[in-house]
Amino acid sequence: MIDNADLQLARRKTRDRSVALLVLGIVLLMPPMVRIAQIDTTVFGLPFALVYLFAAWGLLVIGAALLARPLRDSEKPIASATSDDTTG
Amino acid sequence: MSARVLLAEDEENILTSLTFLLERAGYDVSVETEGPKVLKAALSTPPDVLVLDVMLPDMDGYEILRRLRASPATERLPVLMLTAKGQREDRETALRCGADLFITKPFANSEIINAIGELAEKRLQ
Amino acid sequence: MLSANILLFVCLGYVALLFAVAFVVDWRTRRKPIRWLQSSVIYTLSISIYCTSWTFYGAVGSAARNGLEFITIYLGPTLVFIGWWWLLRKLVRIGRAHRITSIADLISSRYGKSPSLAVLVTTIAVIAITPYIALQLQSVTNSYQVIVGNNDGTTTAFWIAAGMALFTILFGTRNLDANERHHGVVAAIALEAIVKLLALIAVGVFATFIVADGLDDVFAGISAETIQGAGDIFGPRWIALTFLSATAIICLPRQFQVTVVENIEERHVATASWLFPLYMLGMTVFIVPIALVGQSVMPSGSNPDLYVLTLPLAENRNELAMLAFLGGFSSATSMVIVAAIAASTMVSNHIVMPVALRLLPAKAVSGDVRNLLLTSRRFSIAAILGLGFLYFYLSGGSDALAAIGLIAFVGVAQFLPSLIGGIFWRSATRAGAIAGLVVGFALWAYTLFLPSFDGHFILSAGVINQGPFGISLLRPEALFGLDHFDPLVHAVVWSVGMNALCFVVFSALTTPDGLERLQGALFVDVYKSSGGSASNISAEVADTEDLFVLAQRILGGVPAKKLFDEMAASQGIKTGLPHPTDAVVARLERELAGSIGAASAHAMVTRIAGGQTVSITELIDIADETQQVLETSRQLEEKSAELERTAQQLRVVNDRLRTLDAQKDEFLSQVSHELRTPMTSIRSFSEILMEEHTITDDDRARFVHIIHDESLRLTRLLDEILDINRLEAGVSKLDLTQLDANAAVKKALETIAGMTRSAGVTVRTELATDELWIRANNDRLRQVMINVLSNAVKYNLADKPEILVRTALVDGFVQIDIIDNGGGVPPEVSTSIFDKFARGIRTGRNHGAGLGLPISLAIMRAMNGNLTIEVTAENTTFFRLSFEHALIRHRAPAPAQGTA
Repeated sequence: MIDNADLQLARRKTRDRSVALLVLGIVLLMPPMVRIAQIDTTVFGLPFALVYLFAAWGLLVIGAALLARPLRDSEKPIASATSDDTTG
Repeated sequence: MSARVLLAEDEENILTSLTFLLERAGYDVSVETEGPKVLKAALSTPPDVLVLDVMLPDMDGYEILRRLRASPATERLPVLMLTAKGQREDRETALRCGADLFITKPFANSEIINAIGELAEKRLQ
Repeated sequence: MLSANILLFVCLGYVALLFAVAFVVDWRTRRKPIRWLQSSVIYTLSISIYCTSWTFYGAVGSAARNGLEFITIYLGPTLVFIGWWWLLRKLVRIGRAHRITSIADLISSRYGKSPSLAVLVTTIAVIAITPYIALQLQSVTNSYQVIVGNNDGTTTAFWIAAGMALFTILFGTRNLDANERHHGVVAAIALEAIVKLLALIAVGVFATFIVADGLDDVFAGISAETIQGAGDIFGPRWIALTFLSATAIICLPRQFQVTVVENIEERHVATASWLFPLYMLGMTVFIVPIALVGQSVMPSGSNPDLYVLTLPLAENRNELAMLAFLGGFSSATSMVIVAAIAASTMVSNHIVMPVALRLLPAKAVSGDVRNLLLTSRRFSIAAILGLGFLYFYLSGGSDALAAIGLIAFVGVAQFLPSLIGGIFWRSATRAGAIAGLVVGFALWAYTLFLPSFDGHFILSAGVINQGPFGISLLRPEALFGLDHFDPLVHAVVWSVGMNALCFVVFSALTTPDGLERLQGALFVDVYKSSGGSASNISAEVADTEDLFVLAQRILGGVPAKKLFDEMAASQGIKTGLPHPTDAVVARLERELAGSIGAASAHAMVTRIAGGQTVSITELIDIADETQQVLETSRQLEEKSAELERTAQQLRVVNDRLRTLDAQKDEFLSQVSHELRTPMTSIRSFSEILMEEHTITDDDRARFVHIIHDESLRLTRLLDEILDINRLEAGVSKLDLTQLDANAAVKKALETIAGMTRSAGVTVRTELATDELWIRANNDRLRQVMINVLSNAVKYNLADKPEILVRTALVDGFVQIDIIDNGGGVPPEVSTSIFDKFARGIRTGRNHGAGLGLPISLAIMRAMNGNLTIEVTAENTTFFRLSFEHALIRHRAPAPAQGTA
């Protein structure tokens, strides 16, 4: 089946993206990147560091939410994955 | 002129009976009891028919036959082989070595006389 | 101020609600699972027990003291959850596939179901979480005191501990599922998770928008330093704290319990991967505003750890304070309940049960495991809460909340190397895990746990400040001079670092045993063995390589290879191993059953193919399982050696049989030949006599004589054949008597005298002068001698035939030698001369030599003697009969009776 090859490629992409998200999270939240947030300025009256951390955190949550379902489905057997995606 | 038959056999009593039967049928019979002597006699003065026992002292019948077939003088010498071992392999070995006929002991007198007659006739033609 | 009565009333009402929820859910679940309670949202909410009262109260305190640092405690778990595909998923899969009951169970199962490892992990876990439980008691007590006003904190803490123990025992040990799931408890803590989130957000909104005038007002005039804390906030401590919190979300026994053990469906992890970080985000988003408002509004010197509670109180918002109290109460109780369940499971499964099973008689155990387990679990819960209370009592409840939590985090972080190594590295061994855990635990205790008592427990203040015996290099908080780190970072670096190092080094130096290797393969390759489908556990299939290893161990290398090649060929695979289909597994199990019995084979194959690791019913076996495997393999080795010996013997016997069979064929062929020869003469002459009528009387007489002779020869031949068969088969036993060899020789020579005379053979004798006593059968001995002698006469071709007969006693053997000069026997035929119908001796005109010598040999052997042919001079035939010399039996002189 031609679809299967495409599907497998898509699944690999999904998993690659989950690695990318994890690496992004570590880079954003760990030194030296977090030090960039260590500047004495404000955003909408809030300290920049605070905004930066929560923004990064929120970004990661959104990324994880977007990836959760494709990742979960990437373990389904290929034959049925194409048809039954209506549940859950 | 009567056909010459060489009997190669080491059992005295069998020799006695065969000699009796062949001489009375008008053959010129000579006798040898040991392998090498059989070979020597057959090569020096080839008989018209050779009756060859398989189990001979010092050289067995197969070996004698093989050597006879290797020599031009006895290449086509009619040979009747006798054996007391009745197994099929013996017959096959005998025919492979170049025996014309093969008879298992004990035999009927008519059987062996007819066989020798057949071979002698072929030789004389 | 709220009155104590109202507070107590609300509290008890809340607790009653929790009881009701837990009870109803438990009761209904047992009849029919409640769908929405098994959803991914409930799963996520149960994971939120990570946010304890440490978060609820302590995070604000931490933010007030150290600025943004508190956030690291939530960043670590966030990273673990967004990367769920790579670690959590595997843990959950292993937990489900192997029916893991706790983190101690996981680690001990992975390393060959090691009981010692389970005990070690359990011990570390209990020690590490005790301060953590004390922390919860302290926070609830503090909050109670704040609301009610000062009273006896110890009493309060005691009743809180007792109440939690009661709840945990009631709902944590109601049932004893094989998979250790507690639906009622999970429902209750999910409810508590909602309460604490709502309470914290309510307080945050109140602080930000009612006490202060919006976010702008909160942050007005706040310097960056207040937010970021003094000094380098994004330094080693930041990394260490993030690492610790990431570790804790996996290694804390209670987190392992809710995330792995209580997991109902693997797909729930996917939802939790973003929902749980979102929950934590919600819990923390108002922490900084509350801390800042608290600092500006509350009088200086008030405890920032209690701002969440004191802020509403100060503003006279009693309902809000009540809600905040319930939020903190929820945070504490949910954590304590699950922590106690997790710890009691470990203590009862890994410490109490193995001990009990060893001590109790086997009969008492088998029926009553369930009750024993429940009872031990209840006692464990009480004991753990008791320990927590004791710690609270001893430490005086003075520490900042955050510090205590971090000590526990570093403690459980010791599990990380063994856990991660165990599920990703096949070569990790039990020795490595034990070494890492012991070293890590010891360093944790020395560098962090004991110093936390400030010199009141084991380590004195002097030791903490100057090092033991004044050796400053060994100062607990600056080991080997490493003093430019924060004590926490110092402890993490030393304990986790050395732990990981020892784990790797010892794993590399040791070889895993069989069970360890199997379990390692099962854990590391868990995705392969569960067929890649979460919903289809029954289709679990094994790694063929592991099956092959198992087969080699049991069947031996070559047969195993042959079996697997066959199975691969039947699947159309030319080289390599077969696919591990059900058929292959079943076939292998049958083959193994042939070697070790069906039960053992099933157990061993399902261990690989089915993946059942530890269940309660198997508890009985756990303690001695490794021993059993060793024992089994030892027995197998013995059995295999025995088989090898038997096979060897069979081969020898078989070879012998084949030789005998060939000899039999040869014998029959020879018999046929020997019988045909006389029959040829008889038939030929009879025909002559029957058909010819012109025979002379002389000839006739001669021919009849020949027929007669040949008939005798035939008869003799048949007699000999029968005789030799009976002699060789030992059917005819010869009567042996004592006789003199010299006399026997003389008799035999007399018998043959006529024959030698007529043949003109000279016979000489050299007989020993003494009598030579032997045990023999007189007639048979004479038969042998006549046989040899007549051969010597008949086949003697010498001009002057001569026979020498001599007797002698040599080395205790009586020898009778018969030597003739009539043509020797070539050495090459001397060995086959005793074969039946041997042709070697038939030189010249001899006939019917066939069975004479074989019969003679058979007779001699039947008389315990021997007949040999000696090769000596040329043209000499030398037979020797030998007997053991029989001692002369002196005829006792007649008793001298009545001579006098």
